[in-house]
Amino acid sequence: MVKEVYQVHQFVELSGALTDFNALALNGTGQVNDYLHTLTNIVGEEIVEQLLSTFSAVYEASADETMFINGIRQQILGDVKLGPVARNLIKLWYTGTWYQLPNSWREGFGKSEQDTTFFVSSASYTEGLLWQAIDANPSGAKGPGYGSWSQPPRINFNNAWQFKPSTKFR
Amino acid sequence: MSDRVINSIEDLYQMLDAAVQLEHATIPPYLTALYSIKTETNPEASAVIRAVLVEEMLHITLAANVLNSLGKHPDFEAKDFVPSYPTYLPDGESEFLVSIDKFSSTTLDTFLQIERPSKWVPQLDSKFKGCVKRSNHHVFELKAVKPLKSSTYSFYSIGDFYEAIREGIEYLEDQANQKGETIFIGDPKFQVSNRYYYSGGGEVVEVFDKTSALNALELIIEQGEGHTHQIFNEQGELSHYYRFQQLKLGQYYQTGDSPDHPTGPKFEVDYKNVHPVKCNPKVADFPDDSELKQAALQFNENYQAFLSTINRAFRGGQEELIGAVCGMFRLKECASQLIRNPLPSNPLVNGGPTFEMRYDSIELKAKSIKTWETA
Amino acid sequence: MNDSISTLQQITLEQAIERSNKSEYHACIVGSGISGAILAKQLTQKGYRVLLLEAAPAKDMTYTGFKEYVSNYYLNPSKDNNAPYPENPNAPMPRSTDVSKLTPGVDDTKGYMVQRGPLALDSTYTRVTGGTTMHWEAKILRMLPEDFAIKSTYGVGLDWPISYDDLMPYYRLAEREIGVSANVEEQGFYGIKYEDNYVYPMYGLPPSYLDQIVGKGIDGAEFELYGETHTVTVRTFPQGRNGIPNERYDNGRGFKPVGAISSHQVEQGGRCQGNNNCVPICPVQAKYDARKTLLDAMRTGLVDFLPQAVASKVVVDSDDQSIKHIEFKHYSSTERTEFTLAKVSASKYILATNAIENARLMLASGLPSSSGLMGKNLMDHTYLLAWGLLPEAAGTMRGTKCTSGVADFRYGRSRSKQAPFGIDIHNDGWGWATGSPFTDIETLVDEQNRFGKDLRKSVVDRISNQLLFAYMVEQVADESNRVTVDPEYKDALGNMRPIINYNLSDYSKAGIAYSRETSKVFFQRLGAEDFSSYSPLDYGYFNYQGENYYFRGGNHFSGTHVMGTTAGNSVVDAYQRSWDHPNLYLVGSGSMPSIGTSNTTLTLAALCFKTSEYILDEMSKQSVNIVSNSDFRLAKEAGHE
Repeated sequence: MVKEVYQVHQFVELSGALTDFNALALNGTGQVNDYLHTLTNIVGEEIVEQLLSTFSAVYEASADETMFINGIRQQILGDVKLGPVARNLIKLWYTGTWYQLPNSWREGFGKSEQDTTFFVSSASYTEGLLWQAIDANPSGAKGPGYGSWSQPPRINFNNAWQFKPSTKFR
Repeated sequence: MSDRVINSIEDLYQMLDAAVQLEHATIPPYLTALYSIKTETNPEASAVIRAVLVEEMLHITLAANVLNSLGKHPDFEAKDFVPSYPTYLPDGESEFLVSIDKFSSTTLDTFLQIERPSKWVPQLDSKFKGCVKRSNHHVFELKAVKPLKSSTYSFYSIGDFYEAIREGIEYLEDQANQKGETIFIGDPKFQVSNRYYYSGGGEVVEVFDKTSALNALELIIEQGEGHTHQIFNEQGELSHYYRFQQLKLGQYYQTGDSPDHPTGPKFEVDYKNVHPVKCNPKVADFPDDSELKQAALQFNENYQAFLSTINRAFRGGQEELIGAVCGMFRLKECASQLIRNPLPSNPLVNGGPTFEMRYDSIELKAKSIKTWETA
Repeated sequence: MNDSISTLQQITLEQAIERSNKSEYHACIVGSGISGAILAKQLTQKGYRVLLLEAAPAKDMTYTGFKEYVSNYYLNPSKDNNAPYPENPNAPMPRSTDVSKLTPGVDDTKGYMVQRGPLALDSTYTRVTGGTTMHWEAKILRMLPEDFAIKSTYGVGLDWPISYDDLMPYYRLAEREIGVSANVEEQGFYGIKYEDNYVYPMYGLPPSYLDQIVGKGIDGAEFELYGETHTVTVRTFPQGRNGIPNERYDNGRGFKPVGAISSHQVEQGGRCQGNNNCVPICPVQAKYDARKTLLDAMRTGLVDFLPQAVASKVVVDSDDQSIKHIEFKHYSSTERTEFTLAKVSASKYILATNAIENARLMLASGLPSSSGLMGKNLMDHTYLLAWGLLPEAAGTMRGTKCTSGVADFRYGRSRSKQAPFGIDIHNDGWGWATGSPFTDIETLVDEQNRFGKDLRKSVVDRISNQLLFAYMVEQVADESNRVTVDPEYKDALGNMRPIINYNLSDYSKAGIAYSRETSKVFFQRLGAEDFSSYSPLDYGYFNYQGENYYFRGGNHFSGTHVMGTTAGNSVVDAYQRSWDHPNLYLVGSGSMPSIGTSNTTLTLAALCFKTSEYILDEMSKQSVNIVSNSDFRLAKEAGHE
């Protein structure tokens, strides 16, 4: 239980760093558990653990944000094994879609039968972060109300993820 | 003494004021229950709660139109207009409290209580129609509602409450007419019309006289509790009580059914696919400096700004309703976000909108919803 | 606002046959799209009994069924315009995702429509209850008066046997039925006129923020074209979706919008909420679809609605050439191809299955029309897309699919040399051209290697700034563009599939090329970066005067049973009555001799009102005289394949 809670917490932090949405926004989609399950089911527990522990290590070792970003690029996004998985996670959060991993990855690290391109659920489509990013509703859901489209979008970054904020949110 | 509840125009003002508060008081519980249901699950329950919710919004508008027709305005900014939950309802049903809570079997029972049909029988009950005797007025935390004529009676059902208003209007207008006057002295420009008010919940009635006032009240009563225990009204619409009862029984009513025995299509209500919202959450429940607390405060501020907009709409600025509806959609998204976030202290329980208003700051009132930003 | 009364009764095959045997049907209508629904409503409201055959199942007449469509859409990795609607081999429908580049001389049979070329047409229609109005965009324009006489005025295409003035009162009826939101004062241009004091049922929808930005940039731009100056104004479109009712409508009686169709109370379908998903499905049913009209018809109790009944043959009486009966295949499940072959008769027959299916059914029945024109003159609007990035966030991806556009190239002398066009400003950005916004995320993450803050900022710049102009170019009648059938190509029930021959004339291409030039001017004026590119690998690719283009179909199939003045020059008369078969009507856009630069639905709906008036007139004159047919038989057959 404790381990699971910790894993979910780390997953949310990793997702936050990759997508630039804070934990409130990520939890606010209601998709955290479904996405973690999807990821684990397709790439396996071991790779998920490796991804999360690499993230933690980079996070802890980074004195500032520039160092952190470089660390993520070199040790996760630029890693042959972890890179495609992390990019899939970004796309998953932004669109609700799991994209089939690249063939080179599948040859090297295992072909799951579930590794096809699909929406995790009908809810995951409507919870894609891309829509929040541009202050729009997902096409076909959450209609913002008559005439709302006449006003400029209220794009803001208030719920952005923060690297080691001075007052750490609990 | 008279067996009318309303005997003076002041009584009527107070009752209509309470009516607006009453209708509004059901919205936080309905809204929270609705958005606690996980997306794309429980389509039947979602559709039923949503349908009732939008009709409550219509009822607010109708009650406010009646009040405006008398030359008074509802006050959505009044101190304690938004009750502190759990709360009794302003019409004084004394044996149940209404909470902000997740959708559950218990919540559904409360909803059934809220919408329960009148059981008033002329021969048996007190001289006040639909009233029950009580002696606990002090427990009512709705400070904005002053005790009416009698501090020892309250209504058994919302329908009874509106019946009393209807009776009062008939009586007072009759009195006024005898003197060649009318109680309907409000400026028609304050009547909110269908041009600006809309929902799927029916058409708003503009009130200028007794007939239109009674029509407006009739619509509230019909949609709410129905009449004489019929399930469907003349328009073929189910009253709120029977709509909720469908969820309890897992079966739709269809034309020709008798009360408590629906025979339409069956469906499953899934109480598990619901976010575990903390019952009657308060901002104080969330740790200081947590994102959740910030979001809860932001929601309350936005909600208060929303009520201010509504207030302006009923005081001559009805075109603001169009934007207010869009504001409502945004509030919905913010509420959903709170509802889906676990408490930092207990990941098994989620937050929720607290609907705690601040009445200590004047600047707040000046805030327009146009300045909102998403939390 | 919603329909809680259960009026969604259907009949069984046996009941339909029994009533047919008793000669109870005044009309048999094939197809429950907007044309069939209007005819059904008009006839039944005057007391006539109608049998309505629908090829698809009817579960979408319930709220639960409708919600399933919405969920299907959410889940479907392809968001094409038939994405919400389930595959049904017994009544298949074309999908744009089936279209690919053609090999000259080789029939492409991947999709339901066999593509014979030379160009591949990716237009679609929807074979579900309610027809293609389930996925239509509901931009709902009247045709210009000059569109009705392009042959005599400009020497191209075909003339109509009627004029704008003849159709004007029916436009009004159609706008009422559909519930159009528009402001007359913004719509009366280039000859479009209205009755005195006319107002649309509802006020016009507000323009999007994107429209306002584009308007600031391009309003007043001038183009010299064959001696005429065309000055650009961004205008809002009339919309077939609920807005604010106009209290002045109907001499002050106002208008009551029609909400969601449901057998249980759902309280939806009020004003458009801006779901940005008119195509392929409005999740709240604020958009008109034909089920709303169908339900009105059903309320009369005089519609016998038989779903899962695919018309397969129109059978003619050799004595007087009247229709004797219609054969159809009734299947029990979309999972299986077993069907019951049955036939029904009525005093009048109305084919309302759309321009492709009407012609397909007639040709499959061996009825090419004495004019030989059945299936010929296939027209569609040809779309050219031009897309760019604005220098500021324009709030793209919000509002209805399209709120405004430009009408200033729809008219004028140039029409004798090149095709005219209307312009749509797409609120859904580059979606149509590139698959945005999903493809944008793929590009940003997989190719531009962005993540975190950098990514989030790029998502805004890349998506919220998008601008796409869709140029809707007129196509004029050309007999070589056509629908045919061939026993070699059949569907699961053994019905012959439509084969499409399609090409673009130089007249069309000249209009497309000119439209592209205007886009370059617009992008310049807006300071937008032009991202348009037209790959030779694209299935819609063509080269014109050295420049590359591709086109997209507009889903506005028409002309396949064209109306005219004589049995020699047309398939139907001005009332959409078959010249050859006196008790047969072929209704819908297939009757239109030209389509101008207006989406076809409003005009075809107006034609259906005109036709229903004519049929009612006929019926009231005749004593009801139904041929009784006692030799019904049920033949059980196994399905093919």
